[in-house]
Amino acid sequence: MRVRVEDLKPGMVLAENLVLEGGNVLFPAGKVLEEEDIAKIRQFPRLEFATVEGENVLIDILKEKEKTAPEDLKEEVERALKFCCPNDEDLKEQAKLLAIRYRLLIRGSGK
Amino acid sequence: MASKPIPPHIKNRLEQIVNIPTLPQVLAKVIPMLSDPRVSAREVARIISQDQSLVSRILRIVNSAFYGFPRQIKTIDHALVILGFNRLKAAIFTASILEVFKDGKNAIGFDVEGFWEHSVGVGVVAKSIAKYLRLPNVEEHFIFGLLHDVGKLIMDYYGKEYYKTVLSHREEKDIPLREAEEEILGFNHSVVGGLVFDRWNLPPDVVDVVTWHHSVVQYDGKYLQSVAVVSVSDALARLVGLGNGGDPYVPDINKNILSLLRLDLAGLDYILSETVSQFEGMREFLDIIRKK
Repeated sequence: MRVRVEDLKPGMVLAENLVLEGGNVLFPAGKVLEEEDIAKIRQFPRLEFATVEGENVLIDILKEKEKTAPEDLKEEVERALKFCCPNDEDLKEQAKLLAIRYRLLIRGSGK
Repeated sequence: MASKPIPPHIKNRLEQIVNIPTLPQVLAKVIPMLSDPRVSAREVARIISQDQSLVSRILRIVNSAFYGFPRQIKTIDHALVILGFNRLKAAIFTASILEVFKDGKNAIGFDVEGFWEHSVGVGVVAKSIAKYLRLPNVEEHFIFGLLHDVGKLIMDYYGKEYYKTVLSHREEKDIPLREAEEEILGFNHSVVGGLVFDRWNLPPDVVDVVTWHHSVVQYDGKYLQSVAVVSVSDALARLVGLGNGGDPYVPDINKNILSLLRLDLAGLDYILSETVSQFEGMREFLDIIRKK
């Protein structure tokens, strides 16, 4: 599952080589990331994404974001999704989590 | 001509209600030229230069952060050299459509500012999806997104008596604007936009995307991928709250459409992060729209 570099956490396992723009491998597939590895990855601003093991990694990351979201934002998103995905609870849940993440980001950036 | 025609009974009803606007002379010449492969970029530049207001709007667009060129572009010929015809085409299209609506007066209750914010947002998302999917016509997808809802503006400017009723009906019943349009008029803004763009001889891909973005599953024409991209872009822009699409609701997202485009959660997350990173350019683009 591809995740944003800012979402990496210690203990995550790289599913693919993490390759720099020039083609060099920064960390190989199978590497269990530690705090200092993540700090090193973040030193390369052009590295935006990494592919890590686990089907539900991204869902877990998004659920973490949801926990910190203010109540009014959650209500706003709930209302926005009134007519969305009525027959697909999984898709609705994913839509909710993405909406919260990016509305939070937009609010936080003052845009 | 659109590859998928609008049913005649809807077309007739629409023509009774909407006083379909005509294109200014220069635009009527330029727009068909943009999709004619036999026409050279120089010929297009020559026609455009007959309308100084259009020239200045195009130059504002190409000099905006959205295009991100460090040096100022001062003439259409210069823009052609720097941007190439395809990217300049997107700017010409955008400027041309904005010219049409610069003098109109809208119905009470329609948020035109929010409308453009939503449209630019959908354009940016559509461009990000096209880039992500490595489609050959990435720039065109910005145009598709930008223009996808123009039918609302046309209704608002040229059929305002009816549109006022639509807006108050939507408010009263708290339903999506598209549903309110269908309940009151018998058709929705996508049909209006498609019909008018067809009359204006806009390219068939633009006409089809605008006409079918709310009914992808019924569409069987040749631009299915682009129609699907814009449909998903509309939902994503609404999901993150970009502008005002006429109601606060995210439309139903069809899993089959996501599968068609091979978009999963990670893909959507990537596309949205790309979109958010382009906010600065979007804001400047909106300023250009506001400066009528």
